Amino acid sequence: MKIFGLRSKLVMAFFLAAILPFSLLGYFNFDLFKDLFNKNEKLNTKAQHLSAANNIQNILGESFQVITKLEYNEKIKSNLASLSKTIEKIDIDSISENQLKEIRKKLVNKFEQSENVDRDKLPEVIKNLTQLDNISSIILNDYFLGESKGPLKEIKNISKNIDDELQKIILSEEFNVYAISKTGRIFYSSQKRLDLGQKIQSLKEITPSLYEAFKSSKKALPGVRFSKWGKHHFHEQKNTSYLILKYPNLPFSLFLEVNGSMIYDSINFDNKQSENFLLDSQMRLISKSYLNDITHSSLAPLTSFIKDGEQNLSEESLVTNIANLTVLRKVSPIKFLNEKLFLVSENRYDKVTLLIKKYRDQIIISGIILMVVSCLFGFFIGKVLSSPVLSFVKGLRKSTGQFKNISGEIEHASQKLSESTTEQGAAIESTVTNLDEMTAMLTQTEVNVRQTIDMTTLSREQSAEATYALDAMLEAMEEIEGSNIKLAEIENLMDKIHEKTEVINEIVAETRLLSFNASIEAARAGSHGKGFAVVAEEIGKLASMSGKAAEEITNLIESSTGQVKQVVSLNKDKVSQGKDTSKDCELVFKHLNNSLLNISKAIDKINMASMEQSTGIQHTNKAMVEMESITQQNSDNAGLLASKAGILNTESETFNKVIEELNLFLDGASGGFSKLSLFRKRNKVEKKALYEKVDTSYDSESKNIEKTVDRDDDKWNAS
Amino acid sequence: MSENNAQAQLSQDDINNRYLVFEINSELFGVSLLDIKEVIKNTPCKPVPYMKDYFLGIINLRGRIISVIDLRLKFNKEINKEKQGFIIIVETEETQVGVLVDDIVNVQNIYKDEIDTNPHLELDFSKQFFLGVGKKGENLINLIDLSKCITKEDMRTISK
Repeated sequence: MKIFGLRSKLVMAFFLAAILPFSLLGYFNFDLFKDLFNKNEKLNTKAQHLSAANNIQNILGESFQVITKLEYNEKIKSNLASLSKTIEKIDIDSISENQLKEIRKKLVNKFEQSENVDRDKLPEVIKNLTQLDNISSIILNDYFLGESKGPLKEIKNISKNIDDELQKIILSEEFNVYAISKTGRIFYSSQKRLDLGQKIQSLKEITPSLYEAFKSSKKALPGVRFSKWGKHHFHEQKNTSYLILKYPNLPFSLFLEVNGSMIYDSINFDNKQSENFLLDSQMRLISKSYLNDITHSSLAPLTSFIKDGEQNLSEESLVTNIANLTVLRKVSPIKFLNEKLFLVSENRYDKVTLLIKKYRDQIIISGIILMVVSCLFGFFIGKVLSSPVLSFVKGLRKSTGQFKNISGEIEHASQKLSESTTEQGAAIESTVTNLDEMTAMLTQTEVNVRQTIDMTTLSREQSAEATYALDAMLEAMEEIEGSNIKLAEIENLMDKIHEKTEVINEIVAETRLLSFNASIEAARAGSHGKGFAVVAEEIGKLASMSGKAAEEITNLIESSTGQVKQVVSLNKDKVSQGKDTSKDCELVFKHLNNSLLNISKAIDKINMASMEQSTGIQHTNKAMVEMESITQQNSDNAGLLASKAGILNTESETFNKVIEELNLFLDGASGGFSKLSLFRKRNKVEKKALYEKVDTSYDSESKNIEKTVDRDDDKWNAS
Repeated sequence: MSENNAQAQLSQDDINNRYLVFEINSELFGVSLLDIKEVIKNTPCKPVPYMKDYFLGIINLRGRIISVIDLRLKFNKEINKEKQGFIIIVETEETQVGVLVDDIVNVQNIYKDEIDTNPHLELDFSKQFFLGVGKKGENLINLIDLSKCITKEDMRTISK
């Protein structure tokens, strides 16, 4: 198996793996195709049934029209009553085939029993009803009893959804109601816009009132032809009136036939879109709730009429109620279903057969493609897996060559290492001497630190002295303040002197007066008072002189007191300033003291740190000595390493051979997948030779290695 | 020295020529010493009702009631309130009257040759009591007779 490489093996495996699922797929698909064909066939038949049901619908409508056209007599009345009784029992959801049959039989009996019926039309009716029975039973089984499966169920769901959506749409729309006679005259119109809830109500209310209006218009108004909304439609339907539901937001109107059976149509056949929409909007009229509503509202008066006799029900109301019931019969879910399903099934049968053929072709083609792809994938994976390993082997081959060189280099490097260790020893010695120098430096720094400590203590003492001096200055300032008080006292004394001078002035004035009086007396004395007059004059002169002196004194005192006051005020200011500045100085000195304390602490820390450093250096010194011894050991180890590198060199060659073998396994003998088998034999021969060579070389080299190892061991032991 | 000589030469005439010089509103007036009884300091007067403005009132001078006339008001001069004032007691024929003046300056000799008895003046008071103008250096002194200065009307009011 060594002939095939890894890649060829993988390709084969993937090819086999692709064939297996393809064959399985084909087997299972065969059944699937069968199933599909069968189902499609069934669907087709169902669709045919439904189209038949559509026919029934038409026939049923015609037959009821026939019934309504018959004249009313007592017997018909009673027959209709029994009919309505049976209808009352019917729930549209749970109607069964048997019930339908029963209804049919009863209807037939009733018609046969009635005497005044138009006998020409009866056979047609009976025929139609029997046809109805046969076909509708098939569909009703399927649809109403809930046994439907597959496409029918799907359609049921679709119809439900459409019903709901339409109700939503039309519930939100508003519309006007117009009633038009057969001749096209509008005889009723509601100006109100009604929503759907109101509409259902109003339909109940409107029907009798419409009838009244219709009757009156028949007599009073000959009628104008109604042309705007498609007269052709009216042309066909005779003896009927219409209820028009006109939507303001839609492009068409709804027409409801009022007298007789009820139909619905659009008048504005402007485009196909409106037509289609009309088809959908019929769904609203046949929605379940609406049907139930109408049935009950119409049946209630009928049942009461049957129970109580002819008491409260007029002919007109009876007719309208019966008309409503006929509407119910006509507008059944079956009709809508038929239309929908028929459309679907017709298209679907062709489509499905086409699809099946396509599918078959696709499976075959895809199978072939899968096989090819899986083969390619196998090849690709093989390549992806093997190529990195091959490259890896190449790399290994290269690296073994380099390995040899490297082991040689290691030997060389180990020698260099021993040299460098001796150099390292020298370096360590030099570092030891450097460390000694460092210790000397540290002792010097210690001395410096001590000096700085002394300096700081000195400066602290000086600052203390400065604070003492400041205190002394403050005291001196206070003394100056004291002297100021003394100056104030002097001022007071001067004031007193001033007062005294005033006294002197008064005395002077008195003496002057005395002198005047004396001189007067002297004059009176005549010649005897001559001397006295002189004396008096002298006294007056002296008094005036003393007065002048006193005045001068007062002037001097005033000026001096002013000066004293100035001096005192100046002193006060200066002293207060001095006090402030000295206090500031004190503060500054305190700060200085604190900072000096901090400095001394810091210096202490520095001292401690330098001490620790010196011890650290001693430790490192010891460590250096130890390192010296270790480097010597290192040099010894380097020698040993060199010897071991030699062994490594020999070992690498053996490794190279092992790699060659690995390469052979991966790539085959040829070394590649693409090479032809012709070359294989030659390769085999070559390979054998190679193996032999490798074996011999390996043996010899291993012996050599053993020898060298022994030698080394001997050396170790000797040393 | 000259003063001493003057004093030595005092005679009977000298005594007649001696005048008391006083001041009213910084104008100088002279009164013969012989007309004057006494000079006293200004003392508060007790006012007497229903009298003229210049009649200040009465004072008690050593037991004698003496009427006082404000000469400043009499002469229509402004009153300088700073000056304390002096009262000159004048002896008339009937009674003694006090005259209030601003200040008394001194006692001076004014000789007859120094007096102009009839100057061409327009005076604001009666010429009856105007004796003349004494010239002493640069100073001019109005010499008046105080006893005549006080009119008969005044006297009547007083006597009553």
